[in-house]
Amino acid sequence: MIVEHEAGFLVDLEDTLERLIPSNGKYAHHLREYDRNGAAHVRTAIMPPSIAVPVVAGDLALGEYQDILVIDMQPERKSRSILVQIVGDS
Amino acid sequence: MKAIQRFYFLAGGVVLPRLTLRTFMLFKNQGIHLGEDKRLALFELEQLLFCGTLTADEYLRRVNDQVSSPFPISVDGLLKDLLMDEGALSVVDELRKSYQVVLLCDYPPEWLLEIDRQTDLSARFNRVIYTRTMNCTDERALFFQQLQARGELVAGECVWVDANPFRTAIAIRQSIDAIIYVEERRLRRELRLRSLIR
Repeated sequence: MIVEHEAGFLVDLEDTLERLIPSNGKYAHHLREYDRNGAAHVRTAIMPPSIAVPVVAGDLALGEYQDILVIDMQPERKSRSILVQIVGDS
Repeated sequence: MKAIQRFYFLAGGVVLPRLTLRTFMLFKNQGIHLGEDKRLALFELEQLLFCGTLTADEYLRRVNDQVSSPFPISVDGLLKDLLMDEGALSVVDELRKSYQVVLLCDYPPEWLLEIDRQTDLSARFNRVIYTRTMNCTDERALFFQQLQARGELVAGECVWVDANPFRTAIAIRQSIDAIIYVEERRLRRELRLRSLIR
């Protein structure tokens, strides 16, 4: 997502997600008793899975307060892959 | 105008490279492959060093044990050509004219001594606190509470500067203003937004 990489914002985002989609809430996803990450699935569903950023003169055209953050909703730390695709004229 | 009196700068990731990055780059430059089958748990080791539950020698031993390398890591290798972040340090120099600036050192004390022999890093701060002296088992809230129990980190009077966004979030939850360090320009921007520098 494109947001401001700022400490206060990170706390606000975490608090908002916890309020809207509590990590210890009751989720139908848990009924199959395979895992207990229902909150992570719902949180991921409301977040953009990808972003597109224009490149101008070789630089990412981001605003002064715009940063690219990858937020992993899963409670357990796992290896993640990020796909970066550059599209344009050569 | 805020009554900010003191700044806390983390060593690793702000004025010095993070140990994980430093260790990784050392191997990378020597062409050593750290494959998934030989997982080097650097972040876990770094946290143990931060908390002081691992000695410097043990850190080196564990890294050496986990890599099949003809160039085992050493203190000399780790500290050789160590690049300090002069941008962050220029901000420290400026802040010291008006505020106290404390270096929170997550490097082992013997390594900082060696760095000081080459660079006088500690002299650029009012004082040094070693993270490992907080008697914590992790970097979470307890670490901040221990610091506060020692009269440090007074809410409303301090700013925490750290490259680790998780720790900055914890600081905020302890009512301590915090800045995620990325680069000098952005640090200066954040300080200007708070009217702490011109």
